Amino acid sequence: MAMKKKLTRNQIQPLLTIGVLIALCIIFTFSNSNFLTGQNLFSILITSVVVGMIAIGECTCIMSGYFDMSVGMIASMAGLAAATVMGSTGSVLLALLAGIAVGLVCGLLAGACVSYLGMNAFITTFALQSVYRGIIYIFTDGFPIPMFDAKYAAFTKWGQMKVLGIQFPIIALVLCYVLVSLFLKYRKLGRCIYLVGGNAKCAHICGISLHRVQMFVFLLCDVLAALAGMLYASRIGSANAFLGDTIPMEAIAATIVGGTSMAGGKGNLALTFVGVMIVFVVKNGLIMIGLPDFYQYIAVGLIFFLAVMVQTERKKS
Amino acid sequence: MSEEIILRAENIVKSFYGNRVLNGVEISLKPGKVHALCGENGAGKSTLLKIITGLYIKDSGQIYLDGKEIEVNNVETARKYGIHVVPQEMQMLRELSVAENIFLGNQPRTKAGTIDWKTMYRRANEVKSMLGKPGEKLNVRTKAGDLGMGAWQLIEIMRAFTSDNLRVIAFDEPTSSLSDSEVEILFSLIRDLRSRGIAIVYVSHRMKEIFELCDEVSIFRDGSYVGTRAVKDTTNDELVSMMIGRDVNLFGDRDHSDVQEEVALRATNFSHGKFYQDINLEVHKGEILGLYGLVGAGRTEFVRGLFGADHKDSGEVEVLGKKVTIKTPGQAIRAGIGLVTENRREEGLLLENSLKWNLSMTNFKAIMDGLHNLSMRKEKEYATKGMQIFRVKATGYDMNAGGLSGGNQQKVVLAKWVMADCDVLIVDEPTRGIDVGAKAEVYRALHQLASEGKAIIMVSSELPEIIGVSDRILVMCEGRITAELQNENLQEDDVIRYAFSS
Repeated sequence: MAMKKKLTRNQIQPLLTIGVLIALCIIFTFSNSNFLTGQNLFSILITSVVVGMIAIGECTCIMSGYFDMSVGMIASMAGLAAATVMGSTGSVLLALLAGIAVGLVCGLLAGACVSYLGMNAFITTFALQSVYRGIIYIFTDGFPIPMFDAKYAAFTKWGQMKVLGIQFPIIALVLCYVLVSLFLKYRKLGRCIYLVGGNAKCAHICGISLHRVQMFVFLLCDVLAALAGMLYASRIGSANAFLGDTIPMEAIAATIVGGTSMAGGKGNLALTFVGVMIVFVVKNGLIMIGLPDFYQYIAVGLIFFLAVMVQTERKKS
Repeated sequence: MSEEIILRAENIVKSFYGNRVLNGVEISLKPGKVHALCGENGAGKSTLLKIITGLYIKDSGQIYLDGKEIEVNNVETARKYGIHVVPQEMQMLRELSVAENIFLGNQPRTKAGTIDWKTMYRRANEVKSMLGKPGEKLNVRTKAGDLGMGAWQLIEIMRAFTSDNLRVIAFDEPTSSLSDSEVEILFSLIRDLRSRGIAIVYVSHRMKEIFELCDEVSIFRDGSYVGTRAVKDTTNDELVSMMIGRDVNLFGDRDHSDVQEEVALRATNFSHGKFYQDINLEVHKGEILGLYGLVGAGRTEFVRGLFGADHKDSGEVEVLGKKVTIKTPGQAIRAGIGLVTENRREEGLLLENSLKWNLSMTNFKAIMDGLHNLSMRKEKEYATKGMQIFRVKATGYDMNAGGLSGGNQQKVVLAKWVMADCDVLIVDEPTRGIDVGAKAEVYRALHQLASEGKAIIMVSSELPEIIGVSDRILVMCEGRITAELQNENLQEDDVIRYAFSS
């Protein structure tokens, strides 16, 4: 029988994603000769650190079948907590622990709601996001905590220092991608994230603890959000009250652009990183072309929209 | 042939993604005859049924209605010709009433274009009355979601009745989700349709139903047409050998010699509300214990409670003489118990993930290296072995489980648990909806496990299977064990009478 070997959706999707990134780079290079310079590429990378870091957690969360909409506010809270502790104690370690504690508490809360109370993850974290926003307002009145004073130097130097000519946040980002990727591929708990996302009932019957997986993904997601918030505060030397409402949206967009299944069970971090790059290349490219900021919203929204459209199974006639 | 033929299909060819699933097959339907389509999974019988009824479009071939060639490109066209289907996976809008589901997409309208509710309910009651006795209990204003599968099937049949020129009606595995009493209702309806001169196509894996209900049977194998027989002139053995192309001893030989003295699992005082009460049982090493009962007798609920998959009010478990606490499936697995659930698509498999992942998920230890990392190499070896012991037909361990036929899916589920090396394996309806060849392999595997000293509890509502495979049989009725029978020269009547309440 003559069997024409067709590429499956699983095989086409990664090529498509990488192809889109390359195509975008080519387009922007022709539009502005400064696009494809080392300086600009590093600038894209460094601006992508917050969303990139959060996309790791969002990706694992979505793979297990859930969404976390509260990550943006958690990043802000962690940055503020770290800055406050740094200001009063002068200890980087304590500041770091404070920020991570914020992530842990938020992760425990969201995880417990979803896992033990059976609440809908998307709606729950959406609600929590508003709670966190209120807490931030109460503590800061909406003002950032500047960290230009010398007593903050030990904290801010991490975000600003370079290792082998590369800014530390970029290294931290890449390191996190590598570590979590390895974890997902080679550890039982990592595999279980896929299995629970693929079919939670089946995973349960096969002896996999749903509680453990659910708690873990929300903890991972929110701790990574906290790390992202602290890295950002450290780099710009100021803990912002609001890192931006677009963070969860951009992180989820990058994840979906990277081919992570919206239904759970499938995805990988390498492609999520490509997705992050697509989002930030477009944002950067539009600025280089000279379009006002507002167009970025449309662009990111459209990318997200297209990714969802590509992923949606359509009836073949 | 001298007899009148309503619908004839010939030289039907159909391919999916380059895979030819129908290879020039044929079928002739006569008025007032029930025509069974028979064959293993993947033989092409469902595909042919879907082509006749407009769910699939044929690649080539001809369909004749009353001798005139017709093109059936979708369900609507098929319906216009009076060809209807009661699909296996019934689609109901749960929140809508029975009447609304009957007239879905075809609602009576008022002059203003709005739905004419009055007419709709009146006509719904008219088609309901065509059902005769089975329809009496049905209220057309009830929400479809509040009704069971049996009632859904009635709705599907009523959809067909709304047509004014019903000629052909096709049933795709109609009994797979019905209780015995619902099956009786369905059969009486089909007989009624037959007496009205309608041609009926009937797809089923259950040989018993073919002999009970059907007039003619066409056999398919690997997408090819093998032949047609009049049911009264054929035998079970002839059909089976036509289906698989060789003779087969379905259940294998069983002489109870594997049963050992030692008790593998002892369950005491199992109760859960109205589902089951005071269940006690023992299963020995090397023994296959059949747990028989009608749908709703509490068998599934009991084994799920035993396995920790569902809640139980009380119940204690001993495995190999040691008391164990089981509140979650994880605890059951660590105690050495495995459970093959009755619904492989919902709980048995990750349909969108590879066979490799599906096989290793019950036994991560087997694929870990010294540092508790998952070893990709070990996992591939493990998956290869799992697929070999059950002869799973697949393109490789990277294939998605959803791409397999039902029989092969079931083999993967069984392999997953067999590979987990449980001392006690509970299998719930292990051959539901799978073909004869796969059934034989499942039975062979159960015997093999028993001979290795494993204890097996087999829940089944198929009497021939229970009697053909078990060493000992427990019968459940309304949540209680009503009989314990040594399987020596048992006849079906000896078992079934305990399944009904006295």
